[in-house]
Amino acid sequence: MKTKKPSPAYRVAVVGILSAEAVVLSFLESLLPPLTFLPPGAKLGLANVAVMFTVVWAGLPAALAVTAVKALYVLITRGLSAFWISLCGGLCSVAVMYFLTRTRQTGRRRSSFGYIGISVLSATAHNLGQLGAASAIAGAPLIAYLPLLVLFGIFFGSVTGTVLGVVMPVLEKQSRIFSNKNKQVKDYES
Amino acid sequence: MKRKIITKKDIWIFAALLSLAVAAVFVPQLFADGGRRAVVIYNGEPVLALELDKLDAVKTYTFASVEVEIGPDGARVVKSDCKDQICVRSGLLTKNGDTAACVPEKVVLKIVSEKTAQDVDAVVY
Repeated sequence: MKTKKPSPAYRVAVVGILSAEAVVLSFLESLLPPLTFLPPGAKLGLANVAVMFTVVWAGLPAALAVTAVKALYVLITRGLSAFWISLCGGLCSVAVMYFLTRTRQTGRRRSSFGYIGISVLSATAHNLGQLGAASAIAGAPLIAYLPLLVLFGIFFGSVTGTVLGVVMPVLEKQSRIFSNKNKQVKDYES
Repeated sequence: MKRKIITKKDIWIFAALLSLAVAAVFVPQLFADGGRRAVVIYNGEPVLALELDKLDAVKTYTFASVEVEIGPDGARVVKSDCKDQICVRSGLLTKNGDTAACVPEKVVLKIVSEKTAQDVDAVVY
């Protein structure tokens, strides 16, 4: 799926597009009214759909870059401590996503997790990372939030996992056209 | 072969995480004893510890921009200048283990049982 040697410009463009998607998704999500039955701070995490696609299609470095851009967006809109929390959570979840989807990239058999399983695990990793960062900043362990975060990680992870399962095949098909085109352009240039 | 949306392994993850979460809720309650204390941790230091049952009126304390209200029924964060207001939305804390944290202001309000509170006894004021 990856082109043999993508040019730096191509990679920057891909990271740019995918970062924009992640940021827009998290912005749209913030427009949803806060639901009263949710514990404070629980979010759907739609941006993870974009991040997950990045991990699978564009690889780990691109996904890390997207996470960083998303954290910068949080820095601008919600301040420094939210930035650290977002960055920590994002890095943990990307690591888990990469680890769980890696098998397919090496061409061997895929890991037997479904999209929902990967989403739930990476959502949990995200929450753990966030909690770790929050505890470090606040100077006190905030384990009290953990059970609820795990619970909602399962719930929201399933939602985003379902979205992923529906969207991913389509995206992959389209991106294949996209990268083929890119290859043609490159062939033309050389 | 396409990746499936859900597999058998996923169900196992559900079960494992669910039981972890449930255990994390219930196990501490087995060890909790009656005495509830409201503890405020500011900048990583415990700065206030009050036994709820010995209070007779609601009092307000301020740490940075965070206003904390502590009374016989429980404790809550009333006001904070932070953006997300997670601490305020946590509402009234009544049970041991309940926490309201304002991370940007570095203020953590907790209800802890007497045993857990022993290490903060020295700083009651």
